[in-house]
Amino acid sequence: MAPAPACRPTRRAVLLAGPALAGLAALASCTSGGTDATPSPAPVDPDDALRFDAVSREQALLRAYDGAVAAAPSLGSWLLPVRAEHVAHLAALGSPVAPGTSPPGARSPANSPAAAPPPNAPAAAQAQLALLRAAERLASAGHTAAVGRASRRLAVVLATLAASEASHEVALA
Amino acid sequence: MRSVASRDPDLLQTLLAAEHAAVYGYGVLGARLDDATRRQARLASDAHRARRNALTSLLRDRGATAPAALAAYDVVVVGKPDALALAVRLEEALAVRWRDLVGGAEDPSLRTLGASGLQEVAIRAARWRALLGVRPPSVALPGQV
Repeated sequence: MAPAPACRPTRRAVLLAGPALAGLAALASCTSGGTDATPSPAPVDPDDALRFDAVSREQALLRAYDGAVAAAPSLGSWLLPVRAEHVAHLAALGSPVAPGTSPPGARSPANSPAAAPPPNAPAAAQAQLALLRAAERLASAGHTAAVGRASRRLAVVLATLAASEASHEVALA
Repeated sequence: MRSVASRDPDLLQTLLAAEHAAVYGYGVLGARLDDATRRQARLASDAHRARRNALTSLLRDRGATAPAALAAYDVVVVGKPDALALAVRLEEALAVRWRDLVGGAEDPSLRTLGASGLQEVAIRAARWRALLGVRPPSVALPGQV
């Protein structure tokens, strides 16, 4: 199996830029070639792409939690312990999150943005919880779908994260 | 496809033994629950029976021995909190075994099976923890010891 020189962002790019920007970086670096000038491509580990996708899913979940807490601050004390499990997931994927990468809404000491909570907070909170449950299901399904294609070493991590996310349905009920 | 020294049958046998224990454990703990939680225990027990039967078939299809249940297991349950705690322990013990299957199986289809089993038990463990008032009821790495 002679792997073609894959054009894939490095983990460093992911960490620095986040998935959305990393996608742009990938496009940029992909268009810069054109000629087959790479003399000796580094061997490509098939796990790399799967791990990259898994990291992206976890980062998307962190953003979803930050958005939910910003939109419904009353949920903060409930959601932050669950959010912390996703930080642990990133660590399990070998991609620790630098502290302070989350938006201020999620981490400000008082957990109280300048704007007052909306008068219909319960409804807003329910809507945010429903969004998070959907996001968790999506991530869990994505991890699960990759299990069969990953090495055993990565498969066990993906399956573990998928199971945790499936159980977040209970945590968010 | 399978190498001579495949660990797959061992993993499946260990898992099956744990499923037998879970079926027994739910039989004992169900008696200590109220109606609502007993129903949840019955659903859990049914799910473990289904897994047990599937694992038994899987082992036999592969020409391996499917271990039978023990006559009895060392289980004592005094009251409802005890019963809920035992349910959590049963599911957590199974999470370790299902996770072992994902991490150890040479046959990729068994890894996929393991992933689905791990999800099931992680969800049930969370439901029982929630009934015990544990917040959050989930864990970051189910089955990792």
